[in-house]
Amino acid sequence: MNIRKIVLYGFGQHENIEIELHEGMNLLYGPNEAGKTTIQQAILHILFGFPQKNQQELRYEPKTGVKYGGCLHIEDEEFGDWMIERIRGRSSGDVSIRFDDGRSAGEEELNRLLRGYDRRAFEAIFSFSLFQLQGLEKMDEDELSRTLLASGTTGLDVLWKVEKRMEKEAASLFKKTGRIPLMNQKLAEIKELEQAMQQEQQKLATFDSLSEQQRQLDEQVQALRREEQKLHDQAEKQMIAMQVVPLQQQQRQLMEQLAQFSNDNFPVDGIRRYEELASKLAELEIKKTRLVNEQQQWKAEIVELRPDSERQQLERWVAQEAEWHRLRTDILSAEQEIKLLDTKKVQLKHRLGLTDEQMVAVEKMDISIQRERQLEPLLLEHSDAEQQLHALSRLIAEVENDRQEAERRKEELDRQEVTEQELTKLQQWPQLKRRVAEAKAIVSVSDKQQLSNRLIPLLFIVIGLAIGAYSMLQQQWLFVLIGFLSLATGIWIWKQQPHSLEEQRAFIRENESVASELDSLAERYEKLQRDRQQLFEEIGRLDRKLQKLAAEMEQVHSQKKQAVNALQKFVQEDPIDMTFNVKESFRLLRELQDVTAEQQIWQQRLQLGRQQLQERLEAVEAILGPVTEDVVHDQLRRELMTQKELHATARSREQTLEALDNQLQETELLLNSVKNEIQELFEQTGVSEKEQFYIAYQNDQDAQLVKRQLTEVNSQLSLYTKEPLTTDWTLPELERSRKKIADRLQVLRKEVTERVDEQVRVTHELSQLKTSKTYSELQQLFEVRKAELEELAKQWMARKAVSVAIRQTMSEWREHQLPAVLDKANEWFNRLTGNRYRTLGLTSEGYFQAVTRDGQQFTINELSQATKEQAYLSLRLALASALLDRAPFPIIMDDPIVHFDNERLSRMIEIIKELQPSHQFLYFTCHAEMETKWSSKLHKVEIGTRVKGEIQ
Amino acid sequence: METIRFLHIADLHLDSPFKGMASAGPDELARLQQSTFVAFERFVTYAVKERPDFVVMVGDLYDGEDRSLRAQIRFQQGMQQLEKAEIPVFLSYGNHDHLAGNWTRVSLPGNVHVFSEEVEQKQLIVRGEMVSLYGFSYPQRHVRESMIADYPVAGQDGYHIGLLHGSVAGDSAHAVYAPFTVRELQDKNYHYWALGHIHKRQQLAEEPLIVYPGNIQGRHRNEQGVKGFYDVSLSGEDASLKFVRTSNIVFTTLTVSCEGVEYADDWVTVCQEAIDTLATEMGSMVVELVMEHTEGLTADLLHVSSESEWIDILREQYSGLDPFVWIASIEWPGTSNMELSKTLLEPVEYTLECWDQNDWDDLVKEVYSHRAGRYLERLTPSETEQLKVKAAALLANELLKEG
Repeated sequence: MNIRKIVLYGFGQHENIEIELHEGMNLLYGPNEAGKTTIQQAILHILFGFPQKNQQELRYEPKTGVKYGGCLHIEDEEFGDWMIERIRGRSSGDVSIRFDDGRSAGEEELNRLLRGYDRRAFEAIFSFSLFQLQGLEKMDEDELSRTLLASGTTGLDVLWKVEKRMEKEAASLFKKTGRIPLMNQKLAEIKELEQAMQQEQQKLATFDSLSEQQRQLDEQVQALRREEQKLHDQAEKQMIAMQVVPLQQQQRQLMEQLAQFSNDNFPVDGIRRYEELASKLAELEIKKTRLVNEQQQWKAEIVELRPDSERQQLERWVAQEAEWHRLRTDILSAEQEIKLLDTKKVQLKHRLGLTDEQMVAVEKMDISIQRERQLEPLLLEHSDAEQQLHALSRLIAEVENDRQEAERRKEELDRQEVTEQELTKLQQWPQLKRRVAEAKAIVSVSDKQQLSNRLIPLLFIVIGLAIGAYSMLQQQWLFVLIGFLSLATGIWIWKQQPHSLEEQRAFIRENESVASELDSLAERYEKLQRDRQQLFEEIGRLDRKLQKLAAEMEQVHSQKKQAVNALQKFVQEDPIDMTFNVKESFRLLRELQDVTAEQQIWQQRLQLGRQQLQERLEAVEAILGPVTEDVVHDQLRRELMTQKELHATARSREQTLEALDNQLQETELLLNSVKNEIQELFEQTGVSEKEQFYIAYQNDQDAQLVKRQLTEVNSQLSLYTKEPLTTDWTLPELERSRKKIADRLQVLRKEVTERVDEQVRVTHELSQLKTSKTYSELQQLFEVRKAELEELAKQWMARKAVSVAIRQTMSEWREHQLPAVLDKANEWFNRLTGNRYRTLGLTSEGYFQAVTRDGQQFTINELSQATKEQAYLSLRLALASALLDRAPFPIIMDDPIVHFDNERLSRMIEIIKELQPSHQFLYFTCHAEMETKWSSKLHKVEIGTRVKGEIQ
Repeated sequence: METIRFLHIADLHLDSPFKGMASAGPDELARLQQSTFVAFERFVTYAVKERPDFVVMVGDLYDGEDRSLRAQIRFQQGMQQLEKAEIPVFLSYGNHDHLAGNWTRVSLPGNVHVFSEEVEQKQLIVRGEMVSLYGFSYPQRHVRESMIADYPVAGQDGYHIGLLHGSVAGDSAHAVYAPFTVRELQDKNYHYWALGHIHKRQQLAEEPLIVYPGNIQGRHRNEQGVKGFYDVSLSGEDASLKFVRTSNIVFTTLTVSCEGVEYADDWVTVCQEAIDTLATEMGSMVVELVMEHTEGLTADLLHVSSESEWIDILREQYSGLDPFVWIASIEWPGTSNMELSKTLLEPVEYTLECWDQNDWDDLVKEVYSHRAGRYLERLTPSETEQLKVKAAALLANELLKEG
């Protein structure tokens, strides 16, 4: 199997390069940094996959954007030529394989093509570098040996480990002796189960004997039960006999007793009936006695009663009670009326001021209406005159008032009279008025000039100031002067205002107020003069009026006097006070006459009433005896009531007596009938007396009792004696027999109970045996454990098989394969070292050692670096050579022999040359002279810039 | 000729333990132990309902000397039920319940006719048709000589039925008892040969019918599939067979494809679906799972958990459920791992490959010579082969662990 061509798309620093390789030695030369190691790694990567990203190895992903990966073209004698391409994909890269015949394949096929080798195994045998060889120096004996062994046998240590583990696991599963291993434990369990099963089986074996026992028990129990039943029957019969025998005796006795009693015919219920009758009799006797007594009592009783006529009279009077009372009331009211009228008469008498004589006269006086009318005009005239007098005196009073008023006003006017001073002022007034008018005229003219007069001095002042100021500034003293002058002029003119005008104005102001004052004074004076005139006239008029009225008054007085006289003349015969109202007197007189008349009428009525009362009272007293007038009627009513009651009592007494008579008769009858009945009873019984009757009764009772007892006994007997007793038992015999049976029964019962208990136990045991699952459960469990044991055994076997297989393989390897390799390695090592070392072999402890010609033994560690490397190389090459059939891979070397001296180098080359026909070599070096060392033909490839150029 | 109808049943093995049920808990065991009884009761129920003319039982009612009383009582009760239904039973004992056994025997009701240790003829009349039955019971555990010569050739009248508990001569797969050849049986001119002993249901011939009904309930992984008995009708020369299922728990194998499955929970789901589908069809079962297409399963997932863990996970899903499902084992395909260095594996595998039976025997001698050997079955060639595969897989796995 050779690599024909390497194509890298992008790998580390290499981009799109193609390297053709030949059979035999291929020398790949390049200086440092040319990328030799990269190419060596690329081969491994393409074949075995890119390293995982998390692994330490470099992935050589190109830094530029070119495609990562590449392909190898392989010549393969066994599988035909094929091409492998690996590019970026999953982390180990996507691989595709194409055979020359056009087939393509994937990962699985690759595994076959690589003969099952992984990268580690491949590197261990077919790829070695200087670096690896240099590393050897640092290793100790153990490591070194292991590495050598590993490089030759690819991971035997792993197998060793597995073997040990399997051995251990197998031991944990099973040991010939011991308890802890799982199978041994399981065995113990199985043993236990077996024992348990045996026990269970023994238990089951009791089934037959138990069955037999059960059968026997059944029989025994049945026999016992039968006997028990028989005894039971006997006992029952005897028990009946026990009860029947005394009953029969009793029956006989009773029969005898009954025979003694004569067959009496004591009436049914006789004694009860007799006793009832006897008590009835006694009762009736008592009743009769009581009735007779009662009758006598009633008869002894007497009742006082008035004759009917008197009673009727009483009733009438009582009925007339209202009338009686009315009479009494009439009398009373008449007396009161009379008294009232007396009072009235006295009042009137007093009012009219009459003497007792006059009173009598009055009674005869004419007080007719006609006479009254004659009196009227006289009275009228009198009153008229009086009224006129009144009116006049009022008028006079008024006029006098008016006059007093006028006098007062006159005095007032006098107080308001004007003073002398004022009068003089008034006289001066017209002159003053004129002077004021003149002054006003003057003032009005001067007012018009005033404005211009003021402006001029102002002008002068201004001009003066202006000129002055200016000239002061200009220092023109002339003009200063002029200004000053004009200023002075202004001031002067200002001062030149007229004084007269001012005076005039003051005068006017002063006199204008005086003028108005004087005007009003004049007016007032005139008015006063007019008022005084009017007042004088008024007073005169009033005085005249007063005189006139006084005359009139005189006239009326005389008229009045005439009228009074006429009146006095008219009434002189009558007791009428003229000072009083005549008309009223008339009325009162009339009234007095009426009262007197009325009093007489009442006197008569009173007399009549008293008379009637007296008559009635006398009549009553005739019957009731002396009675006061006030209580007459009470007594009457009481008497009447008493009489009525008495009457009723008398009537009821008669009725009671009658009733008593009737009852007496009835009682008599009943008494007789009861006596008859008693007699009858006695006759029936055949006795004549009460005592005899009772004895008869007693006999009867006894007979009855015996009969009842007999019936009882008979009925009891009928319960038992359905069939007559077979034996004639005596009671003691019975007693004895029963006792015997009872004892026997007790024994029997105990026995039965025991047997039945036994039976139950046996039956229970049997049924348990019948349904017991224990045995089958144990069996099943036994099977389960067996199965588990079997499973464990399988596991044990598998482990055992693995460990034994590993051991066998290893020993095979050591005994057959390794010696073959070692032979070759020895030969080459010998050659390489110029026969200095004869062999390279494994010690019994598994360490490598080198043996010199003269038999000196050196452990690998004791060798020189170069010799170590030579040993290593010999071993590797021998291994590769030995594996040619199974793994015909090219051998890749990265300058491993650079340290060798010329002699050894040439010997090494010799050895490689020997291998070249069967193996392809890829030798990477940075030493150009290596080419010359190979005297034979070789294919040289230069790596570096030129390489790139070559591809292009 | 009048049609007669009978039930042909054999190899009841009542209350016999189940083999190979490693790791099964008490619940599972109880369930399993119940199953032979359930199967037997199914048979009895069927018989009582269908009222065949009679029943033939061809040996191995019980599993052996260590039969439980319970099994016998249950059988007795079943026979009593048949007696009540007036169904006669013709019974011959086989190698597992031979007459020499010193075990307790429960009495059987009057409808049960037991063949003696010599070949004998029993007769009954069904609707006027004479039916003759021939058979014998095993006098002891082993009857290795042929008994067929003792069977008489059928006469002219009525039906003739042979009962024979034994196996075909030359069949090395089973222990040979009362060997016979089909030819020999055919020569007897019977209408029907009711065979027993072989637990696998099969017909050795059509003319006349020579039939193994198989056992009524599978009890280990080698007795797979639905089990039961035959309902046979004979009408002159014509015969018809009807298989009636009794097995309560079926032993079976189920191949589960893990294609596209990557993670553990998906794997559980896939397995569950497959098992559920099968359980719907089969009812209660003890199933051996065979995994295939496991490439997708995450590699480390496979190697991190041990196989027993996988099985425990699945068993947990079905514990206490009805129908009863017991996962007996899970078989994984050999790991073809590319990362594995063949240079280490191959030589050892080669070594294993080279071993012959003797080498293997030497290897396991340590166990078999030990008292443990008493409880272990001898390795069969196929088992040796399996062991070889197992060892290789173990090695590969271990090497993988080493990296």
